Order: sequence, then structure tokens, then C-alpha cells
Amino acid sequence: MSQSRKQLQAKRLAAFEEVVKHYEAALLRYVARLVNNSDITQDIVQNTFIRLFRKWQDEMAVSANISSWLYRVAHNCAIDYIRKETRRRELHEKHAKERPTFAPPDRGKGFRITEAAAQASEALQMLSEREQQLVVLKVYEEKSYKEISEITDLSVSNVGYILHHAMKKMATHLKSAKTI
Amino acid sequence: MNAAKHNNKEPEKNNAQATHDNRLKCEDIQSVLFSYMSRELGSARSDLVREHLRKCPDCRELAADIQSTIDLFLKARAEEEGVSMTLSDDHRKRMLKALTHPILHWITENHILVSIVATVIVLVGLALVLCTMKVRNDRPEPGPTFKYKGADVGWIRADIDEMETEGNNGVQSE
Repeated sequence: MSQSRKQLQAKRLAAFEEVVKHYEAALLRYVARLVNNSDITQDIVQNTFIRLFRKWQDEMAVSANISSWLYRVAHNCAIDYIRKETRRRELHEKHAKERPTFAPPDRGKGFRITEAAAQASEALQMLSEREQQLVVLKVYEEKSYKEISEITDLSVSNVGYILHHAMKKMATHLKSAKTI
Repeated sequence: MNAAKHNNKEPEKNNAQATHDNRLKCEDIQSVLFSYMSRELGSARSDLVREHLRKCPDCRELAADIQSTIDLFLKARAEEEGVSMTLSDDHRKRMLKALTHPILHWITENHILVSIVATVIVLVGLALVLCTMKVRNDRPEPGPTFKYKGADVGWIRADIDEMETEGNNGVQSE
């Protein structure tokens, strides 16, 4: 490898490190809320960053475009995992003839799950994958409808429509369970 | 009489129409309630929703329920925020290794596929070696070899020379 190419690679790696530092916490939180498993969350976020390094052709810097891209890829990886896990669990339940039960979220060692977090997670799990994604992006990540639309490829009006139904569903559920 | 009957029915019809209109309006308002609460509605539509909420207890109740749900999520988020979330050292090392040694990383990631392909290659190689050995063993024994001996065929060469000489003499005498 020539000297200039080595320098370019080192420069790109340094920029990549900056991007990782900037987005890792947000992405880890986002994925953790979807998959509820700390080890899997770490794997998904690690693979998302690897893909970014390999696929991102433009300048590697903190930007709205990179942010949308990262959320989109992390979400797709999380959904792949959830689908695989659901299939595995269904197979297991078919054999064990057990009813599905709510599993409290696992956010890693030393992380204490509070009552509010468990209740929010339970309410979230009753939604479809798409609804969960939008609620997490809107309520937890505080993204605007426009940003959510860029991440999910949905129209802005569709984002509002899905969110309305998801929030109404959760509010009704939490009220009937006397949580709120 | 018919006119009086008609007049009695009129307020009932108006009431039903008003309830229907109100319900329709509630449905319209509720469909944008979360957008209104998230400040995603334009100012004109926000004013309409605000005005409706002032008058309608049902929509106010739904708005309160949605707000309580949002509060629950925000409380959960606030409790999580104190915990620093970073990639583990192990994951960070693996990530850097994947960037600097992509082929090694690919092999590690797809170790099952790599193992299957390697096993197939070894088996095919083994089968080829065994086939070659079997072909060699099955080949028939070679027959007796005939060696060229200059002395044995020397008389033929002498005859040819003699015939050539005779031929040349005949041509000259003619």
C-alpha cells in the first residue's frame, strides 16, 4: 500500500472514530428498546458501524444523512433479529405449549430496570414492528416527523397516522391495566 | 296535522345531525391529536384542535391519556439516561479488526459456510486421489516388448541397396 493511501485510510479511520463516538450511545439505546437484549444490541450496533465504514462513499462526518442511514440500518438489523427470535420462540412454544409471557428488558450488567421502564417496554411490545419503531423514534429519540420519514421511507402524513393509532392503542391498554 | 308532526320531528333530526357532526369532528380531531401534542401541526389546525378540546370532554380525556403515556415513556427514558452506553471493549476491538482485516473478519463471521466449503474441497480432493490410484491399479500388464536390432534387419537394408544398384545400371545401359 502506498504512503498516501495509508494516510487516507488513517484519516478515514479517525473520522469514523468520531462518528462512532457521536452516535454509539443513541444507537445503543434505540436498538436496546427494540430488541431488549444487551448482547444482541452490542452486536447489532457494531455491525451497523462496520457497514457504515464499508458502504459510506461520501465524507465521513457527523451529519443528518449519516444519522438517518445509521438508524435505518440498525433498525433493519434489529428487525431481522426480532423475526428470527419470534420464529424460534414460536417453535419453542409450540413444543412446550406455553403462552407467551412478557420478558423484562435486558440492558446489560449493572443496569437496574425501573418500574416505569418495564411498563413502557411492556406497552411497546404490544405494538407491531413498524409502530414500535415510530414510537421509539418519536417519543424516546424526539425525532421530527420529517426525520422519521427519512429514516423509515414513509410519508410524513403516514408517520402521523401510524403514530396516532399506536399511541391511542398504548394509552387504552395502560389505562385498562390501571398503569396510568 | 301533518305539518305539526313534521315540526316535532325537525328538532330530533337537527339533534341527530349535530351529534353526527360532532362525532365526525371528534374523529377528525383525534386523528391529529398526537401530532398536535408533538407540535407537528400547522398553527391554523392547532387552533382548531385547541378550540375543540376546550369544548369536548371525550377528546380531552383521550388527550390526557396520551399525555400520561408519553410521560411514562419520558420517565423511563430519564431513568435510563444516567447510564452511559458505549460499545464494549470486545465489540470495539472486533469492529476495528473488521475494518483493518476485512477478509479475516468475513471468514470469522461466516465460519460455518467456510467450514462446509473446506470440508467439501477436502472430500473432493480425497475422492480424486482415490480414483487416480484405482485407475492406476486397474491398468492391464504391458505385453512383450520388441526391440530393434540393427543386425537382425541388416539383410533387408542390403537387399534394398542391391536392388537400387541394379536399377541404376539398367537405366545407364539403356
